Amino acid sequence: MNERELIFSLQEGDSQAFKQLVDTWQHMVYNTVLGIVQDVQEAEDIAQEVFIQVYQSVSGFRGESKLSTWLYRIAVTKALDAERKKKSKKRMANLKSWIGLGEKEEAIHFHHPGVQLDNKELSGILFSAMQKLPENQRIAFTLIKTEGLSYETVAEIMKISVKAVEALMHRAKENLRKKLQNYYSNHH
Amino acid sequence: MESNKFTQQKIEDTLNSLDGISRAEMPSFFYTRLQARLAPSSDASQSFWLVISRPAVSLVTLSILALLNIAAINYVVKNNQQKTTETNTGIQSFANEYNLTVSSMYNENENK
Repeated sequence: MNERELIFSLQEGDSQAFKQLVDTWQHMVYNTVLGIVQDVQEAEDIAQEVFIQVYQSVSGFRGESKLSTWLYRIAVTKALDAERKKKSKKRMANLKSWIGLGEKEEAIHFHHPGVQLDNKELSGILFSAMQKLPENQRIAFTLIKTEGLSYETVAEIMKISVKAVEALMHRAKENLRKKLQNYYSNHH
Repeated sequence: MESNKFTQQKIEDTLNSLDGISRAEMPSFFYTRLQARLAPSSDASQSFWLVISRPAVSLVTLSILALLNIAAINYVVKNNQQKTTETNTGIQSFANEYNLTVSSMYNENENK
């Protein structure tokens, strides 16, 4: 089944087509979400939400972009929504610990299962720094670094120009350098 | 100077630590778990509660209930008023017929 046929079958409510879609794209969706939320269980839950949304809204998909681009967009949006919720919870927890009602959470570095063993420790530090980037820089950096996407594909997903993606990547790297500088000067 | 160089090298190594990363794979039987999560949404009773719990639906239902309450109270109050005036006119006509009105007694006393 090619992409057009797959979309048509999905719009007809064909369950086999939906299974094919999930089988084909589950790892891509999972890895994208995981790169952003940095939690294995949460990434799976969000990936489920992504496919549920696809199932419910595929009738409105007009094929203006590639199916993968559409999936990336939904995955990124859902992952960022979850991150925003987590951040506001964290702020509340920090406030509670500040007024003495709760304990302060220790920052734990995330270990991506696809990272080479030698780089586990350093990548954990990098993932923590990535969490502090502004959203657009974070999306561009994560998609390029963890999904290995080209600048053109990221531009399509984010609905911006390739130049804008280049600028986002440049700023992301600069910001990460500053954050890592800060981290290493406090941990030596 | 040496330490600064070391830190800069460490920063660059950290920035490049995702090179050669492979895609994380979804744990097995994801589709089965996804199907289990999709199933309740097609259940009729579940979708009924989903519709009911929508804020717009709850607001409209509450407004209709409030309007019905106001209409019922209005009806009861009006009915009571009508009954009171009916009883009043009954007593009045009886009093007039037998000349038992307060004013007539007062007038009689005055005449004496």
